[in-house]
Amino acid sequence: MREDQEGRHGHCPLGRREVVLGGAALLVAPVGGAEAADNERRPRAGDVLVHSMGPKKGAPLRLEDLPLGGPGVLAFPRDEASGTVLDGSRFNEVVVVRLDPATLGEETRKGAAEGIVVYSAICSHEACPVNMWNDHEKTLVCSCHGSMYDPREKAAVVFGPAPRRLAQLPIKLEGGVLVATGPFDGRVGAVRAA
Amino acid sequence: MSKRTLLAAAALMASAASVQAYTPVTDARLANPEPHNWLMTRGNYKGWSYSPLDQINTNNVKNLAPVWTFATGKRSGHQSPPIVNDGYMFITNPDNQVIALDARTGEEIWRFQGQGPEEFSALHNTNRGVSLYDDKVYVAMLYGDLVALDAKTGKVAWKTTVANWKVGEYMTMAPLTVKGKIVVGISGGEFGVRGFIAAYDAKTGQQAWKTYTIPAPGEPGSETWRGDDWKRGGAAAWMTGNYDVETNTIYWGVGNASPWFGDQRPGDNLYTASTLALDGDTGKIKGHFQYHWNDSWDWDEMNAPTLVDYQHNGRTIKGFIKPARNGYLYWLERLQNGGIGFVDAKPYVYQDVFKSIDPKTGRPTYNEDKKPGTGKRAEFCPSLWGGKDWPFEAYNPKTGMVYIPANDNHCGFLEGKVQEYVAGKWWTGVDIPDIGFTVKKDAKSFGEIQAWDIDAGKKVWSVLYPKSMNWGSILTTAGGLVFNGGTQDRMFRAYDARTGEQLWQIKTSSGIIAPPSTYMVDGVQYVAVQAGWGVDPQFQQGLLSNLIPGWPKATTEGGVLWVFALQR
Repeated sequence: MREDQEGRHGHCPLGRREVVLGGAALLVAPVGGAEAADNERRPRAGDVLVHSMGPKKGAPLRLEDLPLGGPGVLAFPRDEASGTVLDGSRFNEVVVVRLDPATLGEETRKGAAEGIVVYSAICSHEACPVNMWNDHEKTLVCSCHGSMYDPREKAAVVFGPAPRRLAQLPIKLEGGVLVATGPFDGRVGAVRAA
Repeated sequence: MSKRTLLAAAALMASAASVQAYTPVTDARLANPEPHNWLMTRGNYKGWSYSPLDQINTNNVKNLAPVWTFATGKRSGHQSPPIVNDGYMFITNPDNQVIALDARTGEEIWRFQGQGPEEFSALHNTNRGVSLYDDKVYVAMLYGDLVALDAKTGKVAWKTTVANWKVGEYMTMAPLTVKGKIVVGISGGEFGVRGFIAAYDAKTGQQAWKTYTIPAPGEPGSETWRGDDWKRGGAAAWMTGNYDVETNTIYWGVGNASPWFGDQRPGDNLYTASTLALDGDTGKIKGHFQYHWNDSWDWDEMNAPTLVDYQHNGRTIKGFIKPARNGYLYWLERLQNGGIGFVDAKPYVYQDVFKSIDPKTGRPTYNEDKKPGTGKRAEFCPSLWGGKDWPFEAYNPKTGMVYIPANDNHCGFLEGKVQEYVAGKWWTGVDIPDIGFTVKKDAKSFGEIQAWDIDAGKKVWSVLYPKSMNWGSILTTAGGLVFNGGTQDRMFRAYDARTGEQLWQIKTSSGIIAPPSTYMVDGVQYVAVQAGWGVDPQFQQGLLSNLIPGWPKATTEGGVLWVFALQR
């Protein structure tokens, strides 16, 4: 938190979004296969991360898409056998941040590749999108109630009402693209009755 | 496998030894509620938040004490008033919970737990109460369903989907019952929705009408929008309306435009930041009043104005009083043709955006330096939370005063950008971390209660809270009292309605952001209110703790219903 007299707790958006798309591009059905692939299943080893929005939507994330030190970029996993983007569930969306590897905690580093860390983009408080960035604190920010997560330390909660960290998706860099090496290492979504 | 199958709901029953018959709720009873009941959110159709009960009064309120409490088992913001009908009490809580209680003893009669989709995300996990009709209880689910429950058992009579949560529509308001129809409006002004108000047959759940709060091309008012902006122009209708029985007119408030920055949607943008007058049978728009055009400050005008008659320049006006979020207090007129006329307006908190207000139309002119835009940072007062957010003002016919839960000495700053629209995601033109909030450095207070003589147009007294905002709805009674919570210190207080003198207070379990209500059973008057801090007051408190040394970072969460009566 800044100590000055202004209440904003940081600035700089997550990603550079300067284009308004004309339509509400939603849940594009997979094509090409005899049967539709399951686009709701959770990510697993072998899935490739692709942009979930913006002009590169659907294209694999590459190292050069990720500014060092943030902000993060939003992505969905893509099933490599069918080419299906797993965007049938918003719980599959992830936020990808590239940081100085030396700043990552030991546990975080196990799931990272060249300083790139990937977390569920679903807040543990009320399941809102974690799609904003605090450039002062270098933290991931929830778009509903401002909970902040430290991407260097397994996305531990550092501010706000969120009760627990974000799940990490372990990855590797392969041919310049990001590939999951396993499932989320924790629970995705909020704990509530309804 | 689909998550959609998770929409089932469960009702649990418990024994109800002391409550037996349920008195059906009729149009006549809603038009003239018995003093001993609290049949709707603001007590009556006019929105007075006033009770004719006077057993508890200025002389004896010092003897008010808890008689029972009830833990809701929920966190997050509790914002519903206890609704009471002849001994049955109904409260709602976050996470789509409804509980029926014996209003005298606190025994639980039944509990309903709505089950929303797992992937639903809640910007405001709250609910503002039930409405009643015949033998049923109606409640809006956060995720968009309207549910009718059997008042005696809590069993689901019907349910229907009103709002599409996947595009950011959701519901938090209490429904309004009008002539056998259940009227609701949607939230979602931060997600690029197109707002609407809709009515459903109380018996069957069939939709009776649906009125969008933004006109489609060709409809009156559509000329105030550019191109396709109207499709995602916001104008959510997220608070309960009021109703004029004499003219069969529903008055419903409309919220901010989206995105928040006016230069991204040039025009007046009807009916954002307005009050709509709707035909009580058809929902057809009869008239409107827009408080500020081309809203750029997130100043929703979602609360329906309070229906009151007052004196102005020697004549009695059938009108409204409306403490607007934009920081001005409005005197309006209910016109014969269903329209809404402007009478007068004056600031009730510090406001630096309006340069003038047209004395005939009420249309303001702006200090353009105070209007944020895309790539244009501007500071303005009050902040986006306004002079008053959604908590209800109250009107007491015995004092002729309206009591306003106000917040002063806070300002905001915003700078817009163009955000890519993604269905169901935040789409205001500014990210949460960039929402600017400031307070006046020399401010001696923030939260207030203001009492205004509405005939004289003057503030009579005020209570100032030096260490808290005020997020509490007001209840006033014929006992000459004003009840108010709303402060982060967990207090619930009673004041003399004529003077503002504090007469009683109690430290409760959490901050009170729910409206209080009052009722009588077996000759005993009770005052009831839910404590349960959360949502916007909680978020704002976090910001304030960074601005003001020593400001508490948090108020403890957890819902508890408190019920008070005079000690014997």
